[in-house]
Formats: sequence, C-alpha cells, structure tokens
Amino acid sequence: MEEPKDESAEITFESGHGPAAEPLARVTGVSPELLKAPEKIRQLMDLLELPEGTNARLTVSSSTTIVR
Amino acid sequence: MASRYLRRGVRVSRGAETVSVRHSFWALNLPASWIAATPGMDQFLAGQLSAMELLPDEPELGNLLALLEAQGCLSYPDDRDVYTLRQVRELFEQISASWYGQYYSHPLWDRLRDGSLSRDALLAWLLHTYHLSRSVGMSASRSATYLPTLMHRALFARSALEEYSHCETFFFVRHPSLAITDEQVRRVVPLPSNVAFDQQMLRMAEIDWLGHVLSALFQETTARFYDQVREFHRTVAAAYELGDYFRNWERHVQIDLTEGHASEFNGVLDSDHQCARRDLVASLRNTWFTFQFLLGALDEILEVNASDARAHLRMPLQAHRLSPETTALLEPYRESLPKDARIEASSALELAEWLEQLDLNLIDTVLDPSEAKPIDQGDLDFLAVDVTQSIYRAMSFATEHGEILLLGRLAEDATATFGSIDSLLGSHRQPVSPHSMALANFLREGANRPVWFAFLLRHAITTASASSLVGEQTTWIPVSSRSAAPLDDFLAAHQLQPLERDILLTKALQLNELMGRWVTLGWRASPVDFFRD
Repeated sequence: MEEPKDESAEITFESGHGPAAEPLARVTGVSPELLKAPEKIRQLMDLLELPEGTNARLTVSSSTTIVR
Repeated sequence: MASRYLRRGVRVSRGAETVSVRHSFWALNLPASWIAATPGMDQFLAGQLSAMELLPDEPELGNLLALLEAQGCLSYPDDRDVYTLRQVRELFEQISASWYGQYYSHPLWDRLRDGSLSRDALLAWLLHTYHLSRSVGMSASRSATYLPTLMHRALFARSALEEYSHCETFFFVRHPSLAITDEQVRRVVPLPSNVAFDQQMLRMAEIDWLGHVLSALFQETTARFYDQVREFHRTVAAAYELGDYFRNWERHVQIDLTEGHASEFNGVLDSDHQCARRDLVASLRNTWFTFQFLLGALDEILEVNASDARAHLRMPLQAHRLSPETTALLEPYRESLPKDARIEASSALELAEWLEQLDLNLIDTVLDPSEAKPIDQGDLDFLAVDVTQSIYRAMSFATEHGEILLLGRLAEDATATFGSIDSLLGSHRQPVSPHSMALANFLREGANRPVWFAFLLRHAITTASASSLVGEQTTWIPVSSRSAAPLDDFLAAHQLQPLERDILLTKALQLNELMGRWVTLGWRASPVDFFRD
C-alpha cells in the first residue's frame, strides 16, 4: 500500500535561549489548514520574536485516534 | 483582536521566575519580569482585559497574542446573531484543540503505555474502540434517512458505505492472548458511555446535522496524529505482548488520511451559509455531550481496572441463570442477589415484577449514596419534555391496536402536564448534564420498539420510586397514577419469548446504570460557554 500523505504539520520553536541546536518545542498535529493561510504562517514565523526568555513545551502527547 | 479575552479554560500558574500558560497540548512559559513590565498583561492573563486593550503594536506582544490565538487560547466573538459555517469551523477548531488536550491527558493512556492496566481493562478498551467503530454505520445511516437536505443525506450515506464494515475489517477484537471469543465480541454489552455516545450520535443524526458533522470531524481529525499513534501502538503492543495487533488500526488511519474523511466533513463547513447563534450553540452543546461520553468511556475503562468483578465481560443477561459469575452487569448486585437466582416470567409485566422482587430495580447498589445530590431543575424539566416526546415517538412506531391505545393514553396524560401542545413541542431545551441527556436518549431510542419502551418506562418509574436516593426526583417521568393500570394491563398482555425476555432484562440493567450515573454525577455539570470557556 502506498504510504499515506502525512497531513500533520510540524512547527519548531527555536531561540538563542535554549541549548545550541536544540529546539525549545516541536509541535506536531497542527491543522494543515492553519498553515495554508499566509497570514497565519507569518504570525507563526514571527514567534521567533517572542519575549526574551519565553519557551514553550508540550505537556500532552496524543495516543490513539478517536475511531470513527 | 476585538473583545477577545483569554479563554477561561486556559490555566495560568504564576511562579517567581515564570508564568505558565497551559492550554490544549502545551504550556507557554513567559518571563514573570516581562509580564510585570508590560502594561495590562497581568489583567489580560486574569481575564479582565481584552487583547485589544493591550498594546499589540509592541512586536513581542503582538506575536504572543498571535500565538495564543493560533492555539485557541482566545475567546471567540459572541456578539453576532448569525455565524457563517466558515466561522463555525474556526470556532470549533479552537474548541476542539482544548478537547483534544483533555482527551489525551486522561490517565488511561499512561496506564496503557506502561502496561499497568489490567488485561480486563485492556480488553475493555479494545471493545470500546470496536463499539465506536460499530456506531458509525448506524448513525451515518440515520442521517442519510432523516436529514432534510439532499447534500447532507448524501454526505452521510457515503460515510455509512465507507465505514459500516470497519468494525469487522479493522477493529474486531481477536487475539490469542485475549480471553474472548468471536461470539462474545459480537454480543458483549457496550460500556454505559459507549451507549450514551451512540445514542447521542443517533439523536443528532436525526435533528442536528451540524452537531453530527462537528462530532464526526472531531473524530476524523485525530488521524492527523498518525505518527504519535504508531508510536503509541508500538508501546502498548510491547507492554501487553500483542504483536502486530494494531496493524489493522493503523491501516484504518491510513484510509482516513488517503480518502480524506476529515476533509469531506471540513468541506461542508467551507461555506458562507449562515447559522443562527442559538442553533450554533445548541449544536456545539450536542457535540460537547458526545465529547463528554468519549471521556466518560475512558473513566469507565479505569473502573474496570479497579473492579474485582468475578466475570470480566459485560455479557447480556440470561433469565435462567442470574449470576455475577456469568456477567459483569450483575456485579453491583452480587451481595443482594440470591444464589441460583432465576426469572421465570412469561409476560412483560411478570418480568418487571421479578425485577422488583430481586431488587434489580434499585440503583442504590450501583452507586455511592454520599455522591448523590439534587439534580438541576432545568434538567428535570428537560427530561419531562423529552420523555413525553419519546412517548409520541413510540406511538409513531406502533403497529398493534393495543400499542396505539396505550401510547395515545400516555401521550394524552403527559401532554396535559404541559398546558399546551405548542409549549411541549416548541421546547428546544437542552440539559446541562450529559448524564441527563444519556438517560433521555436511552428512552428515546427505546421508543423505536413500543413494547420495549413501555417496559422501560415502567422500570424507570419503579426504580425512581424504589431507590431512596432518587427521592422526589421522579417528576421527570410524566406518567401519572391514572396511566399506571393501563400500562400494567398492556405489559401483562404481551407474552415474552426467551430471547426478548433476556433483551429486556439486559436493557433494564443498562437503564439502572444510566440512572445511577445521572444521580451521582448529574448534579456536577455546569453550563459551558463555548465562546469564552
């Protein structure tokens, strides 16, 4: 079977405040529709300019799907 | 950013160095010093100032607000009379982000990951998933039958055709290490919250296409977590030595993705069609009920984990052998049920009377008395209206002379308590508690078979009267003493075959479960503001 197209999106937050080359947070599962909106992409890119010292972390991991 | 506040469900915790803003899947840690130096930020985090009242021209602040908005942390404008379906979708994306956070932070998932859940509870989870899959064909077909517009009927007819066999193809519970036969899988009685979920979907399938679409979208969208799903399955399979058990589940996710099931429901909302605010709130509340039932099922799986029941499966009852050794459904009655108890009823009335004699019409045994508190009056009023409407529904499915006369009399009797037919049929009240909705839905679905409905109605009356905890909370059953004798006469005239007798017996205990949860948990719910919470 053909490998499915992965529709999940990933956003990585990085800044000079974390250890070198280590992202502060990697968020997956963001709606692809969100990323298709240019204005949203701009806003997300701008996140690199959050207040100094800000960091984000995942607190919950998804598990299995809610079957339908 | 006009009038957009931090949602009340966003948790803000303040430390000496950082202030943590938690929502959905993640936490954002902000420097406390920056918040203190930013005018209005403290009040914004306390929900006292809107985003617009801050100074978003500051780049850092503007970015932060954009991040909070993207993650669904900000309230949605609630001052409109109508919303386009695109706006509904935008609002629901925010709401569902919070719901996913709640769902996936449930303690069940870590218990599965580390293998500390019992095998009985593991089996309960696998059966829960099987039952979720089984419900899709039913609810989608109900919509394909009842919805007023061709577009929506066709949408759900396609869904029914795509999904109906998945309970067999992908989710059937079968593995050498699991103590269950194929026949038991097909017959096992779903958890109370699974029943509640199915029946809420069926209610929406008939009368609320938007709520049905939103619930389906909520389920289908979880396919986006594909990578994490595979990792989770690998971990659970290793913990319980299930080999490649979840391969079929993952194939199903692949189908959801490749066939774009979520996209199809999303596409329906890609429209400027308008929805009145009142209707939107009703649909969101209906969808919220389904979410609560999904969460409730996870709680019930943990209850299985904590139970020392002698029978590990919820098998249907058999009147000739009522023993907690044979089905977990009888576990709450283990102490009160005589050894070798059996029922020898030839009519529906005799069966009801046997239930009374054996105290199987008591819900006190299935709940903790200290947990019971008075139910919200609004919920009691909702139930009275909804049960009355179910009486009419039952009459609509009647096929026999006696059924029509009984249900007509019950409808006449119940309607009189509302003053006018208009006030009864015009009521669009919804309950606050999902447990009130679950109880109403059980009788509503029971109404599709008039005899079963009459039996369940009588059982509800005797249970409400006999169970001291329910006390005065019987006003929701709109059957007066005037109708009691005709109801008994009708049930006495209905002769039972063994199969129907066992079905009714099982349904009576399922009703007890829902009434028990209603009494113990129904008072806890509080109204949800979908725009601001």
